[in-house]
Amino acid sequence: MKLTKRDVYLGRGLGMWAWLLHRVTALLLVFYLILHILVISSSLGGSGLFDPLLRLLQTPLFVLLEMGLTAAVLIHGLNGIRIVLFDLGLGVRRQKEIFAVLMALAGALWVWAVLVAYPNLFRVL
Amino acid sequence: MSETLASKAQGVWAWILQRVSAVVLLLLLGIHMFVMHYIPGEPLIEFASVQVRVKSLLFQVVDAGLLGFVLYHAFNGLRAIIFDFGLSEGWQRAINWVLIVAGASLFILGILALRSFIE
Repeated sequence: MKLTKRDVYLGRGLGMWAWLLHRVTALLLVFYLILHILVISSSLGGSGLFDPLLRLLQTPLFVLLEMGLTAAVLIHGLNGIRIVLFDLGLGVRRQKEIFAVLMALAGALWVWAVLVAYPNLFRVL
Repeated sequence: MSETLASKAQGVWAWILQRVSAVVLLLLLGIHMFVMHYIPGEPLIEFASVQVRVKSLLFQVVDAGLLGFVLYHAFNGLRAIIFDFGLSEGWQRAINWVLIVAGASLFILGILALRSFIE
């Protein structure tokens, strides 16, 4: 296959931002994953340790943080589809359109998630 | 050009597994986040409610599978980011071992946590 200029990654433009967004969300998600496993493993101390901690983590501040977490997951997960497609040799020439569609989907799913989680901000704990 | 290929620095199997785990995670993490956080009007998460959920073998498989795939994906991804800074082979080997030990430790901790809800 002969590569044309359009097939070569130039390290700028929309593709660069998509790449950066993938890396930044990756680091955030690794950080969260480690914390998440440590928090959930408080179950080893029984409900006496687990329940008060989980109660704290369901207060409004953490509901808000969770909305941010969901945004990071959606961006990373849906952009990841694009990366897998490219590695299979699919859609490279239409990368901008594919990125736009996937991020629009991420935005729509995030709005839905926020609407579902919104009442949790006012829960009586 | 070839030196910048991720598959060369990391090994081709790590690269393939990163893609396979990505696709698996779309499903497993999708299930996990929906069930744990996005069913409208769900009661608070507490020890007893988790106990009820993980009674089912299906959720034991989903949770344990998610734990394994997400840890592989996260730590191998972190490795790719670190390696992109261009490290010597000695440093690469050291980082491999640190990440393997950290990932395996978190996997064991996660499995113990999951088991604590079942017993």
